[in-house]
Amino acid sequence: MTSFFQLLLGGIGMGCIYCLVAIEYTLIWNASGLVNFAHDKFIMLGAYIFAGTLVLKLNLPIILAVPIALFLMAIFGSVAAMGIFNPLSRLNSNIYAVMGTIMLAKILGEATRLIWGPAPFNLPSFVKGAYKLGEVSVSKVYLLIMIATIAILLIIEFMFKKTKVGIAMRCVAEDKTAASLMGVNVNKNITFTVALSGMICCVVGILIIPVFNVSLGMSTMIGLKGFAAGIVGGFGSIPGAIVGGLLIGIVESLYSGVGPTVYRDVVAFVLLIGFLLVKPKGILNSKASK
Amino acid sequence: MKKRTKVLLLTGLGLLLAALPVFITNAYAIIVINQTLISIIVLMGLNFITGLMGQMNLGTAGIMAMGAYTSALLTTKLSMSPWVALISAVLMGCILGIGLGYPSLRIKGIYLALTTLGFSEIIRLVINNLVDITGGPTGVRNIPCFKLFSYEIKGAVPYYYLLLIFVVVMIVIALRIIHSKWGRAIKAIKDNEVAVEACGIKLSTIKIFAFTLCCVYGCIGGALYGHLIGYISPTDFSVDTTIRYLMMLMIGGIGSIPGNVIGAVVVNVLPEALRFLGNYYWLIFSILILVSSVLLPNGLVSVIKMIYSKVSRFAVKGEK
Amino acid sequence: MAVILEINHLTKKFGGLTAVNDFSMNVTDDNIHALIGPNGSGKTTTINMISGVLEATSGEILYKGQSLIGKSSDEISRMGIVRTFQNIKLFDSLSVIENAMVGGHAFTNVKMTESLLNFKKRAEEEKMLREKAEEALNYVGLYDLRNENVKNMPYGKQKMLELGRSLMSDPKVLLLDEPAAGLTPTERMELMHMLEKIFAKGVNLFLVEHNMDVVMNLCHQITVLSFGVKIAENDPTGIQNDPEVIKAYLGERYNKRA
Repeated sequence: MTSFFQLLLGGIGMGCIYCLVAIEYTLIWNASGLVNFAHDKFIMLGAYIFAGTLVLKLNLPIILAVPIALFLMAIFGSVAAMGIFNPLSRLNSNIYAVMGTIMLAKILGEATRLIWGPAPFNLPSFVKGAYKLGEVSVSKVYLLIMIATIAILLIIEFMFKKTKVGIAMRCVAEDKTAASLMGVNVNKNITFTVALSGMICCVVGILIIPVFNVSLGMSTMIGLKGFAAGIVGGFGSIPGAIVGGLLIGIVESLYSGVGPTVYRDVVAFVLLIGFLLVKPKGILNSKASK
Repeated sequence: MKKRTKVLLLTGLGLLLAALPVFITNAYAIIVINQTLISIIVLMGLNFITGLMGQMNLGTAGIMAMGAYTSALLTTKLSMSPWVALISAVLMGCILGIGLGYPSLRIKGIYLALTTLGFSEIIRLVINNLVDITGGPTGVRNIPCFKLFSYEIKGAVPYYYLLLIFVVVMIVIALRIIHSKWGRAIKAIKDNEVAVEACGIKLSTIKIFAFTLCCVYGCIGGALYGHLIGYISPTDFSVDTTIRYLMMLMIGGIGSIPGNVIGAVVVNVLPEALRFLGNYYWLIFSILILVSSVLLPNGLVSVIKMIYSKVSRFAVKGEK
Repeated sequence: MAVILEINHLTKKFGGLTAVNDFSMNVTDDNIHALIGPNGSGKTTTINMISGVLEATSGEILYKGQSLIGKSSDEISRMGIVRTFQNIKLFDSLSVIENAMVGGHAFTNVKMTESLLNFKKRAEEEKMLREKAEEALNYVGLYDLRNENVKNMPYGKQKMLELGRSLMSDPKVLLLDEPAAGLTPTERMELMHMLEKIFAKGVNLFLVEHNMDVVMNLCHQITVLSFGVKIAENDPTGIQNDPEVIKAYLGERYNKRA
């Protein structure tokens, strides 16, 4: 029983990460109709900026480094949006749009390798250790991940419901043409969304440093599983992203209690293909069925 | 007149290709050329689905891996002849094609892209972890080379000729399919699926046919790759491989066989020519592709076509 | 006259909305039959169900006594019921003649392997298909444009090409979804002549149409739908004098003219 709770807790922790990943690219999908295949590189970039430059090079305290990293990623996101996402979203062939973001991923990967070097590194004393809760031990990282996820969800919820930008984002997600006819600047909306998405990626990148270290491939698996989470929950819907992310995290974690651990990573993809074949609209029946 | 120039050009090209190893004596260069030839085969397969039918396929690496491992394991573990193993790889391609074609009947666009990506990852993870059969991360070593009666097609130059024959045959087959009624139907699917059905054409047949072609080409390419290098491991078939093929497809021009050849040559040979860029090579190359995808959505082939039409117009004016 | 297409108690529901409700109708052989009705009355839904694009919620559709329910749209097309679309669906990346040739694809019989190995047989079939396509294009007056790019053609010509493509499979019944929509008056006249020509060739026409000129001058039999329910069925004069129809659809103006 203890081990069950232990696994469940770990699953929810990782599930939260998948949630955030799924939300981060769902936002861009809703704003521009593009799937950001470079999103894992956004995550990696956030982690490198935070750990490689701000903490290790400039020796900034973490309290200061986090907002600076978020700010830098927001700027990076808006630049990427203006230079790449906006032109791509206007192309009529979706193959080129997909290729464009894949190339962006390649560029970011190469640039990171050239700037920070290929060797992986770690932040030695960054959120280590665990709390004991009876028999179950809760690692601090997972606790932090859960708190951060809930905080981000609340912020997004508030933004969507109460702010003008958020309402505009919801309009664009619903119908781009109608939104632009109603006076919403779709291009500006894309820029803002990618910046926001870049900030969420940065949070994800910082949170997974204790779990995966900082390396060029640190976020590849998370990125792919985030896609799986989006499909399983229902593509293009934020609640779907949350449900799908948690489901994949929990199933994967529970599976590692019964099956051979080496196939742990396969679970998410089997779920992905299974859902696509049986219930392509996902658990929450998304309407984005294009 | 026009046909004669075409025949002359093709004969010239054929002679040039046949004599290539005479000019290029560097063994490494020949290996690069061999890899280019294999890329052309795989790329033509991808071209059927993504180029002509307009369906996103991000599973190239997985398809190649299945072909390569089928052939490599049959020759090393069961000591079969590489020719028999190659035929088995083709069969594997047919099975994969049907397996990937069925999902494509229900899902499209970004969903299909993610399904094929997931498929490719599953294949790689399974190969990586089935250590007893596939050797896991250490891969398969000592894959034998092809034999013609008692002559071993060993070394870069003999293999070059073998690959050249393969490539020519596969190009001819691809061209014949593209210029047949099936080719037309495949292109029509890209434009409008509902209208294809309204014409009385069974969509599933054409789609599965195109996917099977893609997988057969991919598996043959994978198998030939294994016999070329003599060693394969899961890292050869990661997402990066898929991306390389998509790059080739985009550079050359989507949907055109000459474009495929150009794309494969550019992506395989250019890194060698641009060695002086060193570490910055991939960065610069990716930026170039990203820019060209926005500015030049029909690939290099469109530039060549444009120049050709300008030149021929100029020539006509001159005659007058 | 023999009934060729029989629709019995056809119903289609989209969630809570009933688009077509318990609709019955017979289309007789050697006939131009129109289905009219105000916007949203379920006309296109009906054509979509006949051609197999949509699945009926209940009811049956019989073609020469054979049920069409559960058949896919390509099967129905091969049985001889071919349709055109409201917003023309052509293949933009193919030339005009290739578009027509795709229309004849389903009625060719050279197999894949034969096509790769037997050069002669393949060339013969290709030639046959091309000649047939040229004939069809000639019929709809597009022969001179056969090598043109589809995208560069005016709307009216594109409609003609769609007609030409559907003729490639020698249909018994042609389902036309708003053929006159978006055409200039001259193009509309051309279309009507063309449809009469096609009908004279022995093809039954079933059309959904908004344009009263086309419907009243061309059709022999008219069925009127309103909010998914059939309210009248008669010849053009009968329909024009039907008080129920005038109330639902035609309005006072047409009443006076009749």
